[in-house]
Order: sequence, then C-alpha cells, then structure tokens
Amino acid sequence: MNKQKVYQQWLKKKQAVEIPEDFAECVMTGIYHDSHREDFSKWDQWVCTPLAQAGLAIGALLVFVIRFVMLFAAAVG
Amino acid sequence: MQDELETVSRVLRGDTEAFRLIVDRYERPVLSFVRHLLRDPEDAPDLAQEVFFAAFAKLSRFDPACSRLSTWLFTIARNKTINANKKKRPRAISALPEQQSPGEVSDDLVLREMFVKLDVALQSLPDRQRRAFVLSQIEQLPYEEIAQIEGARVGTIKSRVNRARQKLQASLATFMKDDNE
Repeated sequence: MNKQKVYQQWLKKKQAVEIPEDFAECVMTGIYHDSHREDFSKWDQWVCTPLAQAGLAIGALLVFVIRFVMLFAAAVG
Repeated sequence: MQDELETVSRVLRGDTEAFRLIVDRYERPVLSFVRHLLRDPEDAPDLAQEVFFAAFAKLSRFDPACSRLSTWLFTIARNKTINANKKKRPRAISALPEQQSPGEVSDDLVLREMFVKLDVALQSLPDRQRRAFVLSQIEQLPYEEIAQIEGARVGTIKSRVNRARQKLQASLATFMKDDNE
C-alpha cells in the first residue's frame, strides 16, 4: 500500500456521503409549516415593480415641487 | 445556472414547491460539507435543514450578480457550522485502537486504521484549514469559489489546502514508508 493511494481511497470514502432518504421531504415540510420568507422580501418585490417605482418617482417630484413653490412664495411674500 | 436563476425567481414569485429543486440539487454537497465540519457529525442533518430553511427565508437577498447559488448556500452553511461549533464543547477525539505491526494483521484492517488516523487528523486541523480542505478536496469546489465563501484571497486558500494535505499525509507517516523511499 502506498500513502498516496490510501489517501485517495480515503478521499473517495469521504465524498460518498449518504443522504437520509426523507431529507428533502423533511426540508419541504419544515418550509411549509414552520418557515416563511421574510416579510420584507414581499416589500422588496412590490417596490421593484415598475408601477411602484413610477409612483415613488412621481411622489418625490411632487414633494420637491411643493417645497420649491413654498420657498418661492415665502421669498416673494 | 440559468435554470437555477429561473427556479429562484419562481420561488420568489410564490412557487414554494420550486424550492424542492434547489434542495434536491444541493442536499448532498451541503450535508457533506456540514458533516465534515461539525464537531458532532450526528447533528449534520438538522443543521443542513437549517441551512435550507435560512436559504428559503433569505432568498430575496441572493444576488446572482455577486455569487453563484452554490457559493451563497455554502456561505450560509459555513456560518451556521461556525456558530454551532461555538455552542458545542470540543469533542474528545476517540482514542485509536492500539496499533499493530502491519505484518501481523490483514491489509484491510491496516487500511481501516489508516482511515481512522486520517479522520482524526482531519478533525484536528485548525477550522480554517479544515473548511478549505473540505471544500476543495471533498466538495471539489474551485479555489475562486472557496475564496468567495471564506472571504479570503485565492492564494491564502491554496496555502490552507496545501498545509492541510501535508498534515493529513504526514499522519500516515507512522504507518508506512512512501513508495519512493
């Protein structure tokens, strides 16, 4: 037996990991029953829609215009 | 890769069942990685499940522009094993059976003893070296991906793997002489 050969055999043994038969099923059951995606992910998704982004842009523009008008009115008046 | 991204976006759109494809694809590498790094390998299936629960919960944070899905999953697994190992006391490495002279026993028994010796040597490696070794030699990930998981340079990872290999091979030194000796 040579050292390199033993080492390679050992590596092969390490790579052969047995998966419990019901592993994926347990994960999916756990996901359905115990775990939910973080709520902010839904918020993220909503914010990323084009309609929401357009709404946010229009809102920001409105706030800017109103503040500008108020400042202008204060300066004139 | 493209299929994976499609699966991820299906899950994010609410198709929870699509996550099963990710579990089926990565259960073996994640479980193997966790088993080789945990102080108590019996906890591996539970921790691997936690990795997938966390991945599902945080899937919206996965950014395909930053990493591959496998890299992201291994990073979660890495962090979870580090935390789990912190909570567990170091496990005493079981004593090896009394060593016999190779001439007195069968090759099979000697081989088994050598495997035990290698297992003990792997367990004794410093955590960083062990992670780099497991990811590179057992999970066969490219150095670049391991560097991303570990947040280290590729050269550092290569050096950790080399040192780990040297230590493991040195653990066999007491058993035999190299062919070229």
